[in-house]
Amino acid sequence: MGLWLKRFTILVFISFLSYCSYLFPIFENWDLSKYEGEGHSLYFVKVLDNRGLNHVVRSIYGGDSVVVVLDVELKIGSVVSLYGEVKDGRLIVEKYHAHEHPWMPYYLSSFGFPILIFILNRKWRFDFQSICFRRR
Amino acid sequence: MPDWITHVSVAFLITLALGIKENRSLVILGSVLPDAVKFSFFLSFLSSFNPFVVFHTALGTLLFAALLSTFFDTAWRRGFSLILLGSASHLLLDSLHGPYGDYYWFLWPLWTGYTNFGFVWHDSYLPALFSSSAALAALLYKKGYIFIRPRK
Repeated sequence: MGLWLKRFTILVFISFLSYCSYLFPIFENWDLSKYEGEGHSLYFVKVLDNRGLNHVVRSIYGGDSVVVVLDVELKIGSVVSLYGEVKDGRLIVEKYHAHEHPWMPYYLSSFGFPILIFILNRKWRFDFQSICFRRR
Repeated sequence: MPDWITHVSVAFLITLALGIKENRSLVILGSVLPDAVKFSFFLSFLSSFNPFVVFHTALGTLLFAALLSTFFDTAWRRGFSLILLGSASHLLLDSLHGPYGDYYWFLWPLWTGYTNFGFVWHDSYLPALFSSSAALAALLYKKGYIFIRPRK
């Protein structure tokens, strides 16, 4: 099989899989109604609003907001992970963990990225004519 | 996700443990491959749908590794298996996240059960500290800067 045909075929499969993920979402954490009466967790959510025990939270990456009920008052803007039981479309929180540095993996990755480039660049060079990495 | 320092360090340690000398860099490249899911960041202004989310699943990783290995001047099977090894280490490390359970569907669409064991928080710097220290010590030992004398 030609190299480009192989690449194209794999790309078609990836696109199909991606389309499937559109039809059947992989991360459904935010639709709490699907977890009614079950234990459920929400990771890295930002507190948008608090009205007494009710807190409106949303993933730090954006998306839909949900209502959670806590017996402590969380500061608006703080980032937490929550675990609890879903009742009437709300998460009744049993335990929570406050994240002081939620973006830590990204800070550390900014150091990991140059290491990766250095390792790759030491062994490989990109050949623009054949659109392929060749050994140095 | 653990940070890339952890992923790169663990991939390096795996290559040492398995005695992979040639094309070690492909395992290291594979170890960050599933984080292609973050490409969505550049498209987030267009749509909330993330077309790259499949890269963080076993099947998506398999296909991406197959695609990427065609871009390297090495035997395709060899390149594919090395990149896949790195990617597997990535998914395995990410499985250690989320102490509250149910976080990732790694085996989607084959199985929609949660597969994380969960004992470390994502924002912990400890995995990076331990893995990079171990990788550095292994590198120095390999280069001959650290000598371990046998007991008499």
